[in-house]
Amino acid sequence: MNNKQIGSILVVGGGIAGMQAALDSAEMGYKVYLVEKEPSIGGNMAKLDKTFPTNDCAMCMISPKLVETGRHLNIEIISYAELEKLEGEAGNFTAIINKKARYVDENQCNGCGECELECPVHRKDNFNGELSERTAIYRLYPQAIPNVYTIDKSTPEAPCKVNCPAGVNVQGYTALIAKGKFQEALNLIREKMPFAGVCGRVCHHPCEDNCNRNEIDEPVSVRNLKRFVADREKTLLEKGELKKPSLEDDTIAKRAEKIAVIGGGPAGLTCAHDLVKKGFQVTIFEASSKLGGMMRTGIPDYRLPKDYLDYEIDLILGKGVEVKTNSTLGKDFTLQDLKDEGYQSVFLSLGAQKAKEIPLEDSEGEGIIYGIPFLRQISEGKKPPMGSHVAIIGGGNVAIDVARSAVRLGSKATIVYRRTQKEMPAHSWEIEEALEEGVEIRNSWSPARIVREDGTVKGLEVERCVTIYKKDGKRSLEVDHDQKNIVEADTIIPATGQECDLEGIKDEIEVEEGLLSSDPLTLETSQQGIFAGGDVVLGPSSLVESVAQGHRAAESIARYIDKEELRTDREPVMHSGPSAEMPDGIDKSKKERTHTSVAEPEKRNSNFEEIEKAFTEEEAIREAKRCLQCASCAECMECVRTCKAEAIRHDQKDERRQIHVGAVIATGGFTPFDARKKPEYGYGIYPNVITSIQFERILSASGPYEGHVKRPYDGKNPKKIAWIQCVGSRDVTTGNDYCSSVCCMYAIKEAMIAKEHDPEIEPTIFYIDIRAFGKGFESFYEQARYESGVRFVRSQISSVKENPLSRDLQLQFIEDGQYKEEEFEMVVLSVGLLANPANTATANILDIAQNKFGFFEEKPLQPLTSSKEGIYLCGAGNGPKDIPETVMQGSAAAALCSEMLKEVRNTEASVKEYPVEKQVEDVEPRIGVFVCHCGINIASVVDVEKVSEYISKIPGVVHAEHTLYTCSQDTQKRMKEIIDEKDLNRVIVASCTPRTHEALFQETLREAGLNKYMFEMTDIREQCSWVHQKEPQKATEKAKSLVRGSIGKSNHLEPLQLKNISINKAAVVIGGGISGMTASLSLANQGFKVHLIEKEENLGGNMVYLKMELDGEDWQEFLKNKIKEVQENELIDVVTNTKVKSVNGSVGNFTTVLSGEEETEVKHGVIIIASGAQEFKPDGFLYGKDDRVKTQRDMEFEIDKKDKFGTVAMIQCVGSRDDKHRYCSRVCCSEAIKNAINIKEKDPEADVYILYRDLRTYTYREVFYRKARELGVKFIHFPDKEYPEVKESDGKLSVHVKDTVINEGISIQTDLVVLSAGIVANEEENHQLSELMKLPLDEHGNFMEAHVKLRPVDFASEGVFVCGLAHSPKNTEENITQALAAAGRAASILSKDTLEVGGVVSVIEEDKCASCLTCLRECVFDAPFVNDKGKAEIDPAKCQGCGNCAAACPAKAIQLLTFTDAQETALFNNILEEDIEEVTEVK
Amino acid sequence: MKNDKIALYPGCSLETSSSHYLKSIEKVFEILEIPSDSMEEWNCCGATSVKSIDQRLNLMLNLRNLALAEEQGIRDLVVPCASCYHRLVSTEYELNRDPKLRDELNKEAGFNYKGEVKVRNILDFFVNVVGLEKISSKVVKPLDGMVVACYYGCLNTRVPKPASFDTMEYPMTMDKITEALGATVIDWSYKTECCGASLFITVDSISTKLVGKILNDASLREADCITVSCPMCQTNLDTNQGKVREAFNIEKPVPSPFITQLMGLAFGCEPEEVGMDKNFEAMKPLS
Repeated sequence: MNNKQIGSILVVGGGIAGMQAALDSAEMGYKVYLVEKEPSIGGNMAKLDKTFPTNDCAMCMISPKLVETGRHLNIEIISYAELEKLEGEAGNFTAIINKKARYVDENQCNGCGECELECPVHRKDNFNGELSERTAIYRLYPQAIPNVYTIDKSTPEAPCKVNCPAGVNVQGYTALIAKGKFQEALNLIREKMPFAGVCGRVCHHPCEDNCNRNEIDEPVSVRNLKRFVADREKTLLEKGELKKPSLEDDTIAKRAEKIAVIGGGPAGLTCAHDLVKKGFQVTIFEASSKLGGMMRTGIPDYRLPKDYLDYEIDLILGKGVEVKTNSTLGKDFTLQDLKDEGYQSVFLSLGAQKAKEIPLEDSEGEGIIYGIPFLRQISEGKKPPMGSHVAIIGGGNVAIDVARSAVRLGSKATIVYRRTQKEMPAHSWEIEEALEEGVEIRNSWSPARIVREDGTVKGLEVERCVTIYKKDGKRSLEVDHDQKNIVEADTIIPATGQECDLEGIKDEIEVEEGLLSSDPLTLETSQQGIFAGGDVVLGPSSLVESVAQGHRAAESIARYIDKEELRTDREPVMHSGPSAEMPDGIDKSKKERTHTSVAEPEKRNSNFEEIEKAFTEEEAIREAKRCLQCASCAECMECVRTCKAEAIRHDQKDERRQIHVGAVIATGGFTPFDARKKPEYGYGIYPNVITSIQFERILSASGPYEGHVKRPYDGKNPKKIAWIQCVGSRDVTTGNDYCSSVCCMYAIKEAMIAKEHDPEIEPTIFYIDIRAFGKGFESFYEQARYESGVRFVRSQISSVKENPLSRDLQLQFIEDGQYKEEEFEMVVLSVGLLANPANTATANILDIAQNKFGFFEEKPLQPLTSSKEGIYLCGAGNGPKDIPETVMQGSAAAALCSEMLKEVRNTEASVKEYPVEKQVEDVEPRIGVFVCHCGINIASVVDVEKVSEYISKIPGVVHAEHTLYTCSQDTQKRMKEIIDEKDLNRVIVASCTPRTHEALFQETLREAGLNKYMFEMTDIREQCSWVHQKEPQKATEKAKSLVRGSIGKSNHLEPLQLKNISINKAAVVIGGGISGMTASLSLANQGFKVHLIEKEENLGGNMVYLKMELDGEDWQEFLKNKIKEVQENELIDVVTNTKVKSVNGSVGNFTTVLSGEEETEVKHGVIIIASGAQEFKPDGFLYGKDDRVKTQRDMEFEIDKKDKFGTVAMIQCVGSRDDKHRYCSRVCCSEAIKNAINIKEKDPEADVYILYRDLRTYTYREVFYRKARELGVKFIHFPDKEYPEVKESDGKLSVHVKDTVINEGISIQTDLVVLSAGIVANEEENHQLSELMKLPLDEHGNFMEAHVKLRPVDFASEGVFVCGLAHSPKNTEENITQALAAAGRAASILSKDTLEVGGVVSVIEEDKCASCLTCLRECVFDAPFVNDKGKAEIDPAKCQGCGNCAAACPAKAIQLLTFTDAQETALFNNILEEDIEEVTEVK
Repeated sequence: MKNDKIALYPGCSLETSSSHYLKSIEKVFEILEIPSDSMEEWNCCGATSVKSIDQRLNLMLNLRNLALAEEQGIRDLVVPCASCYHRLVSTEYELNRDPKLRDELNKEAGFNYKGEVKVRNILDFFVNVVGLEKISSKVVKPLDGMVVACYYGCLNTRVPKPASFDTMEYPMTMDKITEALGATVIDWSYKTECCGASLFITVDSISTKLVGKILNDASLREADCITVSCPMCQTNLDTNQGKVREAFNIEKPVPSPFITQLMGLAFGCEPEEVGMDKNFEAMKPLS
């Protein structure tokens, strides 16, 4: 390799696999970048409620890991980020990471959650299986790391906003109205629309036209919502219920520059408003006597009462705009005058107030009045000159307004329009209303002549218009002069359009087609500094368009004055474009649009009162709630207003980072099968059919129903619940013909936990095979089946039907040979684990292979190694698996990286330095107490507020508070601040168990400069809220007592100092099978010396009996190479024919005596136990009595030797899952399938039977099970307690078995019987090792790891690890993985130079010791020894602080530090004493 | 010659007991501007007994149908009857999958079937050839307010090979057509449940029970009717309702119009024009 190696590792995916890989890698001395696409790490495990087979709380287990990962010095979490590119090669990669904008500053946000309370946008909460909602600003879950919020924001924006010419944030104010925040909504509208009340009445609302709700029913009534908030403010002001908004804004710096706005219509007023807000001196010059332009003169009162317009104009003027009315440009002043008066810029918004003349003769004079002046006169309170019957020419809104006004003034009104009604430019709703009010519309008539008699208008002659289709397909409108008619009228009102009056300006500014010309982007005219916009530029346009022009002009003018570039970064001219689609996963049910009340036509057509009423508050809220919130975040800015930490960044952008790493670990995780793809089960159709992931959330205390088992439809507590297994697993129709491997166990767990939540629940699990193959699984299954009352039915369900009345679900199945139909109140679909769809992108970027199911592909016989060098795999990304296997793979992948990068270990990682500890001895205690809510875990039972208040009064306590999650990162931060601020020297946390959380809090103390033993923890969850759930008051009292006790004890706390001891960087590996060899090689490749101890003469262990893998890969060749590799490795010292005689010492410094040909002693820092197991020797079935009865192991090699097999009967579970062996041996089903396939492929005529109870071909092994069936292997299912019998008579061999399908016994004449013999522990050897090292064994004689889920290769005793069959039965590749994991864990110790020991250990007062040796006998960790003075002494490196010796010592010579007699006495005294004043003794 | 025609394969039932189905199809095709001719000289598809007794003969019967259709220049052979469809499409699949068998049967019967005609279920044809847009463009009397349960029966979508034109267990094509007509469709549990039509005559106790479950579910979900595309299902659901409803205590009749009858009504046809007078349970008039 040419490139320099880099001592850092990129971990892609922050689930439990990624976290473990990151933690181990970091502990081994590498810098880790952990990239997670979600806003926080935790992956799927964080969603689980409990875990099998121990029913431990998943969150309680993962939470400390989250925190550990989050605070590890050498792990950098890059969350809400995706890997975009990877270049380079093994040892030296360059990765590009795209960190998505979360719109929240990670360093500022403290996760307080205040923003969430104010956010008005709701989305289905994916984390909770969409059973509850979250807000647009959200955190995945309360314990999330990093504990910061993220805003879910769509680009492009919502269609309503995108299509509003003025860019009003429609979704924003709608969301605020839905939340009842009316004033906030109005303020948001006013940012872009100063005429909310006007616009709320007259807008042509493109927002509604483009509303995504149109696809469902009708658009949200946006315009009326706007009107509602505007009217509300005015009404409340008038009633005196609202204080007049302060118009003066002190924060605006006044500027001297003067700007003239000519024309006081909507464009001019908007421009003036924007400029005055920027501090400029603005004067509006208006030709008429009042401001408002067409808003005032063009819209009749019945649509817009003028007091609303006046109100909004006053709000603008109140901000300091000067107004000069009756000032006409060109008449009263000129542009030059303005310049002379010092105006630095001018906005021309003259409007289009002039009526367009009609091309008819005699179209002036008496009896003729144009539409625009007609309406203007009405607006001025005058009655225009008109008779009793008016004929209106035109089809636009003006024509309609004129007609409706004329009707109101008592006239008959007839509209004449050349085209059809559909083609009229007026809004359809206006036409409807006009017709209702009695306006007559005569369509397809063209005015030809004004009929006058003696000069008096008598009518309008009209001619028929016809549409002609020309040959080229184009249409044209032609007048048929032969068809004539006369519309009787005494007044003709032409309303065919408007023009601009450019008299006063046309010589100075360029004019084009009757309009002023200005740059569409900047609105600058031909004269620098003079801008023009609104109708005078656009021609007659809408209110919103004019307002948009006003904003644009103001922006340009401000830039002009500040001499900035006018064109850069401008809002595009066309305010439309792509907009957000209707979001997925929202409620798309029809909801009727709320209509406002409109006055009856006969009541409204005689006056000018406003005809439409505004929404009431209830109506407005109801209507606003119809909004689909298409863009998710509505940018209503409530979060910005709320956030005390000022962490919100709505303008944040994606950020690209480049990092350099030596190796990559790809996790990828899984995604649950989408149950909608099996519609026959009714998921997504029937509300009470849910997925197992949803059920996990239902069970979870932090889930949608706070841990109560409810069904979604009606919240009823279901009693009968059915689980349907293999939904999306073992299913060719969905392309997932593998087994997801965990569903059987999680379903059993869910059923049991459901029963724990509500004992009346009757769970039934419908299954094909129960695959309880892992360690401890079988007994868990048996417990569920035979003790906990979970009903198991071996029948696959084909479809789910729903009872339409009860919403219960009907299932059909076979039970005990009978066809049954039964109703269940809820159905849980045990959905399979699919490859994460994102894997494909990751695989492409990393250039690694995927298998046909989309999981990352491992190299044959090389678990966790991807197809590309330097990239390793772990977790469910490479196949469905359970948590312990995932964790093992995490450690193993770290080991593989470490093998590669051993030369550059500790080159990128940094070392943590703590502040100097402050003096606490002989100082008055100053105690701080933190009482934890644990979400609702504690607070729903214990009144934590009361506890905290009570505690605060106890002398010595200088600080007491209650916190939502004391373990959360933000609280930890706060704790440090408080320790500092209040000079605390003792800290008490009253929360959960010290088992999981003590180390975390102690670390916080160290970081705050306190000795970590000045900490005391009170468990008020397990001890109070959990056990006294039904007695909250008593639980609260008990919590008080317990904390009181802790306070008593903390007065006696003393700081303890840790000692650094050096580490012997060598390992002893016990067992030379594949596991031992793999572990040894990995450690040696990481640069550590290894002593590999094998009791037999040769290396290889059980693997010498294993010929090949299911897929045909040759294990024997592999083994040969592996042995050679081990023997040739200089760092591995292979010792055969040798056993371990004794082990002394402790982590970092062991001394082991070996007894081989001669006794030798080795010194080393760690031990790996890989002592293996053995094949069960069958004791029945004629085994050993008839040589035609063999085990699978014998059979495997014999297949080669034969060509014809005749009939072969295989019997499963021999020595497994029986009364003596209550566990599954895991490998035998696959072994049987493998041998059966090999027989059938060699001799297709052979009859092969496999007699089984549950076929446990988990993961891809399922594919081979299918293959065996396709090859014609016959599978016979027999009952659990009725093993087949093997008989011999007259030299003929036969097997008798009860077939559960036909429910009868059958007899098979056979040539061979093959017994699938199980795996049994090496009991004697395990016992001996267990005693030597004081290690626990389980009931089957296997070594018992520290924790089945998260510490699968560790022991409680540090420095000792286990792997391979010594741990539990498993397949070869799994043994290899576990061996790598053990090597990884061991290396995380060996890669350090020193270890800290001491702390909570026992100490012996030598004077009191009588050397009775009681402690030596008592200690399981072998810590006490007799020193050279003949007295007992305790090795602090070995002592685990269990306290057994202290309790047993007859002379009371032993004290366990931090649990000394004095401390414990104080604890108990304080608990028992109730009067707090008396008990508190201050040291 | 290029095959570009569209033709119906009516099958025996559309010419006899379900002539109203044919009538409605012809009317709807006319409105949709689709030539509605039936293919010429078609023969029995063999669905009733031949398929169970002599599979080869069954293939032969349908080979003849397909070969003739091909000769007649037909591109899409539209099959309204679920049984006929099942037989024809299976034959098409078998013969195209196994060219050797096709050659053999062609030779034996003296045909030259090449596999250029596509067998289409009528629902498939409406959705994927005609298109929902075209259908909704012809709606003049939308079925607003009508609640419809779409019933596919057991055969329409259960053709394991080739892949079904719709989701096998919870199909949606008929639902989409019905929605395009303006009606409201419901989710229900009996879309593809067997109605027992084959036992309608012989063991009516079974078919009564099966029909009862279907009617009951639709009726409890307040469907105004159950629309169908299979002639056997329609006969079975429609003709015996009195007895079934009594046994299941179903108060209101549940009419079971063919999908093409609903289409016709929405297209503005008079009920008689689409043969509604032949249905036993009358639809309530559209407002």
